[in-house]
Amino acid sequence: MKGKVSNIFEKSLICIFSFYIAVVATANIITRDRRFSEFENRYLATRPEFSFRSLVKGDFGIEFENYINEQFPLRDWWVSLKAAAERISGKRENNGVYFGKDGYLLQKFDNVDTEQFTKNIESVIKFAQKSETDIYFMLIPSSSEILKNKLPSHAPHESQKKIMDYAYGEISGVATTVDIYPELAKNRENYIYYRTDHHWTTEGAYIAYEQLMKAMGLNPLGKDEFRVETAARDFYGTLYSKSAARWVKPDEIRIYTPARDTVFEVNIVDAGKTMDGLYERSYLEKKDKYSVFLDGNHALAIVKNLSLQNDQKLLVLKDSFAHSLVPFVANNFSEVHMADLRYFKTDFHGYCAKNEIDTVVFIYSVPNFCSDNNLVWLNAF
Amino acid sequence: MVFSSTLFLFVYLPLVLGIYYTTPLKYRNAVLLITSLIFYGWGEPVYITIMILSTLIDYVCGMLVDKYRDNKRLARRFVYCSVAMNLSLLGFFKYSDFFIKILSVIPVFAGLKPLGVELPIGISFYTFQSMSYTIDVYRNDAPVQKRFVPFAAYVTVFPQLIAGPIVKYREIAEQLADRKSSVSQCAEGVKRFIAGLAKKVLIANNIGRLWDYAKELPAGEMSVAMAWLGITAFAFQIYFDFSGYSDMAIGLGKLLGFEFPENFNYPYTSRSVTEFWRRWHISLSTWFREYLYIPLGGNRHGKFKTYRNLFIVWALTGFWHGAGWNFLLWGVYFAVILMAEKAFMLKALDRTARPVGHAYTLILVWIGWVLFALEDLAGTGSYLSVMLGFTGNGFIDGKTIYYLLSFGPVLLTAAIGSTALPARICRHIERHPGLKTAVPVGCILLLVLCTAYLVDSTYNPFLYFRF
Repeated sequence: MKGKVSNIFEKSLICIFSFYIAVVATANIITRDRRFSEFENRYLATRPEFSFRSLVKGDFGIEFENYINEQFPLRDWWVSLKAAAERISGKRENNGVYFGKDGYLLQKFDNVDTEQFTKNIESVIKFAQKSETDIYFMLIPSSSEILKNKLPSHAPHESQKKIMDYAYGEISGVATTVDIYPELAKNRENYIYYRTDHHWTTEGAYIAYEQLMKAMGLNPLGKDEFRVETAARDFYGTLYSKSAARWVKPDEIRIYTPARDTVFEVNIVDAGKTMDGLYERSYLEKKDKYSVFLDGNHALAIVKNLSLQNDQKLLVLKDSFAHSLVPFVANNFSEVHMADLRYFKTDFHGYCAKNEIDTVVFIYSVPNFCSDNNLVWLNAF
Repeated sequence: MVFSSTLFLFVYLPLVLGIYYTTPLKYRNAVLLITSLIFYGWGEPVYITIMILSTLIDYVCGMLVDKYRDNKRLARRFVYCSVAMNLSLLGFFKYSDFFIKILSVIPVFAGLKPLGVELPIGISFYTFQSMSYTIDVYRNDAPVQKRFVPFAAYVTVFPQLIAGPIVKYREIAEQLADRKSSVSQCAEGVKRFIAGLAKKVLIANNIGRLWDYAKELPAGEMSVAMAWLGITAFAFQIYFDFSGYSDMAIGLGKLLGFEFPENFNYPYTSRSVTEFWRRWHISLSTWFREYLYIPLGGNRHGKFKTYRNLFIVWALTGFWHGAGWNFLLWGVYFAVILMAEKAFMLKALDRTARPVGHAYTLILVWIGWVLFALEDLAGTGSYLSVMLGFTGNGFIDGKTIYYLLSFGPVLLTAAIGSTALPARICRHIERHPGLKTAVPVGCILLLVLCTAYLVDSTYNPFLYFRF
């Protein structure tokens, strides 16, 4: 009798195991491949092409393994389960994102690539020395610096203040540095960084706008000169995707429009597309909502303020933090050229001369400025 | 391919088990051979040839040894031939660059450049395995295998191919000829496999990140507690990784109808280093014991030779783990400790309280792991001096507290998991009629959790997050 009972348990164990593996394996075959994951906001590996050569070299085997993993059925669900398990087991971070206090997610920044960082400073200095235009330089601390108090207790983090001070010290001889740190710090209680995305909010960008205009000797538009609209209340940003922390609340995206009638035209040069306005609202329906600002990442975008004929032209060399800042800046310049060095490599001195640009501003977040390896292209022509 | 991957679990394993169990008994060795070659060749198909070469050498040598059994001298020559050829394969692929680097110090050889050959996976395991067969045939410890397919299946069978246990031919000779899998053997196999998978995926991979962090910290920024925390993480990582892999191999073996030897027996509960080495990577220590220590004379030829033999065996055991000075040093380190224990320490330890023995063993093994884990000796030196408090570094800092809190629960699980307690609880539950269902339920939960960790492990964002 006893033997029989144990046999039932043994059989059920084998059945459960086989069933589980068989079901997942079948699901693997029948689910259709996705090219893009909205949840993770990235492209997924697709079925590798088979060739005898890639098989012998072993590449096929490795790529196929990657393919199986990335196209795993219900991948998003598994990824979230792992994040939840990590959190329950006491972890305070997942995939390099801290689970901060008050529902904040913060990008871990505890390690500086000093070599790349100093190289980037040198590139900027060299560029500025050769330039005939006014050069401004602005670094943006990320949320893990300004919102230190939201980090998990004792979480390791590098001081971005120190990095900024060092960079400004080096660069201030050849360019006007714009230190927005004190003002951001003063406003840390306000909603100046997204909780689920690594960017700053429009509010945060506005603070930088005021400081930048002041440094340039221009008059920033006052906050009361904008209509503020909450364009999305369900924004789940990059940090959410990366950490799969499903328990956090979504962010809001706010859009500022000048109260006075102003006509903007944006020419996305690399996409051959013209927008009559600063915002591409179709993104508000998608996962990647931050791209509502100036249509997201592009090699070159030219923003024209048709209501302003001051012939002031600005070149912005930037990372994506600038996307929510440029819509403010565009109120003071008849043209703002926004270039991304990763996709657009050219002789910018010549570019400025050709387009009659008299001011250049660098706008980078500290983590990107420390790791980006494209600034060297500034002096490559 | 590795067991702890979605490719293995959800593509390879169901296919192989499906084919294996629908094939008539007499063709199953052939199925195993072919599927194992696919398993082995998945990432680097070219190296299948080396494995087949090693297999062929011993298949032929074994038969010749058997044929000329009456002519001892001739038979012995074939044993030497097998050993020499296997060791040259191993020597060339694993150690050539190590020796080239040493030679190039001498002016005459200064022009020698490292060859940069990639190490064929599992070569240290399968060469030892197939060598042992020829030796066993010579010693009359194992029957000769006249058919190629069962012999090749023995060498290549995928569960133990890549990371052991090192199975001796005589241990599974009968099973190769005739094996039927029973329900309880399969059920045991499933449990064992899931336990191993959980050890590898949920504990080893997880805690490995703590070690990765600690080893990258500059010595100046490391507190004493962080150094200990880091090496503790490594100690658990390597144990759960390796013993988890052995558990998976043994479990898969059972699913295919094999009984492989045990490889670990709760090494971290040892009360002396001698005991530790009886419980750690058992199939390797017994291999060295049987095919090196005893042929050298073991402990039967007086004190000097006994200690000399211990030294040779342990230096080589260390060197087997990798072609680097640190591995050699690691082996010699244990040789010295084992000699001291043999001389007097064991007696002294017997007289002390149990906790003293445990603490003594763990501290020495932990220091050994520093030698093992850090490949450059300067780094080892500075890590050890932080650990032992020779530098002015503080005892504890914020980072340490953060990582201690983050990894505390996993560390605790690992510590308990290193003892016999979980297995004992499991057996208790299985005997209890009311609690029995907990076993299959627990197994499936672990399996689901492992799947989640495996799916996310390749999560490697490169397109968007750098913006």
